[in-house]
Amino acid sequence: MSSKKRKRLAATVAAIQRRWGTKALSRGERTLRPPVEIPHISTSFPSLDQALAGIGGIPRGRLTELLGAPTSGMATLALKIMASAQPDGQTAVYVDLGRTFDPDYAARCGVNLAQFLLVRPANGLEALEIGHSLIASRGAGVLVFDAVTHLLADPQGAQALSMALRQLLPVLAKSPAVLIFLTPLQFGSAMSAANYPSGFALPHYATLRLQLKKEKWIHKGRDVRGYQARVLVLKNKLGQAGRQATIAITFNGVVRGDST
Amino acid sequence: MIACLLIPYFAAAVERQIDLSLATTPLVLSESRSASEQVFAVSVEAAQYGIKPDMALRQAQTLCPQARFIPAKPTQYQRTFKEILSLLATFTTKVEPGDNQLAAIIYSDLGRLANTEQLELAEYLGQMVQERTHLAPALGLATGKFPAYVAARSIGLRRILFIAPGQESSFLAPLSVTHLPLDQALMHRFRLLGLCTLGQLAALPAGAVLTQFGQHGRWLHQLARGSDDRPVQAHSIPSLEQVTHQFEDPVSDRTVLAALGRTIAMELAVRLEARGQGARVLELILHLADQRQWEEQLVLRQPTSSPDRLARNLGGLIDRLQLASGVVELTVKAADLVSIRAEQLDLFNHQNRAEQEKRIYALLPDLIARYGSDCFAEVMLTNQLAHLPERRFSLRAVEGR
Repeated sequence: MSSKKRKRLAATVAAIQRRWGTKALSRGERTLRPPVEIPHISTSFPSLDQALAGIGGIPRGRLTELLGAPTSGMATLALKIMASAQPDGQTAVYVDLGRTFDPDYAARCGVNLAQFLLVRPANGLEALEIGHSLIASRGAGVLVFDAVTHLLADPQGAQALSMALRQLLPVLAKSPAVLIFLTPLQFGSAMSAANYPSGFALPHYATLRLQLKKEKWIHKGRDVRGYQARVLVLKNKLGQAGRQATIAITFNGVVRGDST
Repeated sequence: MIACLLIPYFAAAVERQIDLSLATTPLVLSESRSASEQVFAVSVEAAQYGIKPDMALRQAQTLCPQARFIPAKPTQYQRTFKEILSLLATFTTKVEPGDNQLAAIIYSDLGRLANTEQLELAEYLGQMVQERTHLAPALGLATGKFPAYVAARSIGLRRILFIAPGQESSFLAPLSVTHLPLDQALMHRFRLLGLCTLGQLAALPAGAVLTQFGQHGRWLHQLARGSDDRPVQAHSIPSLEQVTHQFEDPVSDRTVLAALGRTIAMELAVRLEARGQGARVLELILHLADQRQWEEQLVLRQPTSSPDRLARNLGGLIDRLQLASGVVELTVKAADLVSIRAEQLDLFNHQNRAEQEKRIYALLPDLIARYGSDCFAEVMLTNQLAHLPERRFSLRAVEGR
């Protein structure tokens, strides 16, 4: 930068600091702090943990949204996160709005069903209220909402749900819980990553948004042994977004999530 | 008896140890603060031109254009200061650090040794500091911190001044009141009242000083009389574990560094485990082939001695490396060590629910009362060998326990 430009910049900075205080602007290197490790739970997929730059997993005390078409691996990823948290004594809670929870599949994903609570509320608002109570009690280690489409079917409307979410966030921030929302895409033209329902503020509040896309089936001979999915980090408030990871989910008897 | 070890113009002295060509030139160390560059510390030659810390760098350049202006390295000065502290702590636990920007000041309580032994010990301390850090200290010995400090300030480097008990007031009497911790306003009042020396202040009646200057003035009056009963506060040196590895040839391959990082993490974990402590801070220091140094620190949310966590965090630090040249030496420090909370091992886990589960089951009766028992279900294993998956498990409504 030329000295003239530097002087002009210094004068502008001085003027701003005179008007708005010295803390209004500061040099970049001054604002840098030693990086702090963010409490998180591993996704069980090393490649995905690596792609979640700055975190190393799903952050605790924050809101995470998983998006993807049905059978893209959203629920499997959520169950694997639950299974990853349980060895530390964390209790997993699954809010099953769609009434589609499969205990056998959860067990095959490694979820310890003795340390597990299934919640089947009547509507979306009730689900968020129960979630609020469970998080405030600091009793839940992982809380999964399956799925956002059912939440939005609530007669109270998206705005009431957004308000409930807003009340949930400060409680969540003080708790060690991981909160995950599953958002199935391609159910209609309104539910796509590009055209999200405008009234629902979930993407705005989410710290992490991961989109899953099934890439290919994994065959062994003629048998389908699993599938490979690509996870795209749509949003990451704690690190770099836009990264991708490829995960492989095999289901020959036991669901094993391996990175490729 | 208290020893005061003083290294005047400490930061400049450290810089001169690093670069011997700076030995005689006026030296000004600068740092960036808010929008402008300011003076961090100066050498004695630069101070003679009227340059002071916190002065704008532009003003310093005007006062002494021939001075050498270099950016300050506060972490380097801090490290050297800590090195001296830990060196003195090997002789006595009562070591108290003072200011280390203008000058490094360390008080050390030498206990109740005979005068000659104290002198010998102080001399030995000075020699040790000089040998280890190549910095020349001045040492003052007196019964209180203030007379010891003034004694150290009054003599030259590499010398010791011993003030015998009872001689403090006579030693201080001819010296200027500027040795006292005075603010600008008090200094101005002293000047107006014609109080120039410590002896003049000490000669005033204690009651008159209290009336005129309040409690602070009374304390200054006591200091001027050579009476300082402030004890040396024992300073705890933060413990750390560190592993250093030197390479025969400079290494710039990141995978080699990562592999070494994992080995070092294992070694640190073993050491921490043996101490029963966990590290809260991980620090990676690299000495590069081009004589530069690269440092990165990671503050962990939870203290750990787990090899996996240490290796993962160390790997993260290595990932952030920006290598311009090869690494010749790698040091990893596990600092801010704390005792890891003991956990009661549970032999009957199925009977004792985990803490989180207990909280949930304490809350469930309220939730069931509000939303109905149909909302909450537990999964029960019914027949593990059932052919159909849906028959292997069943859902059971949670009872409010």
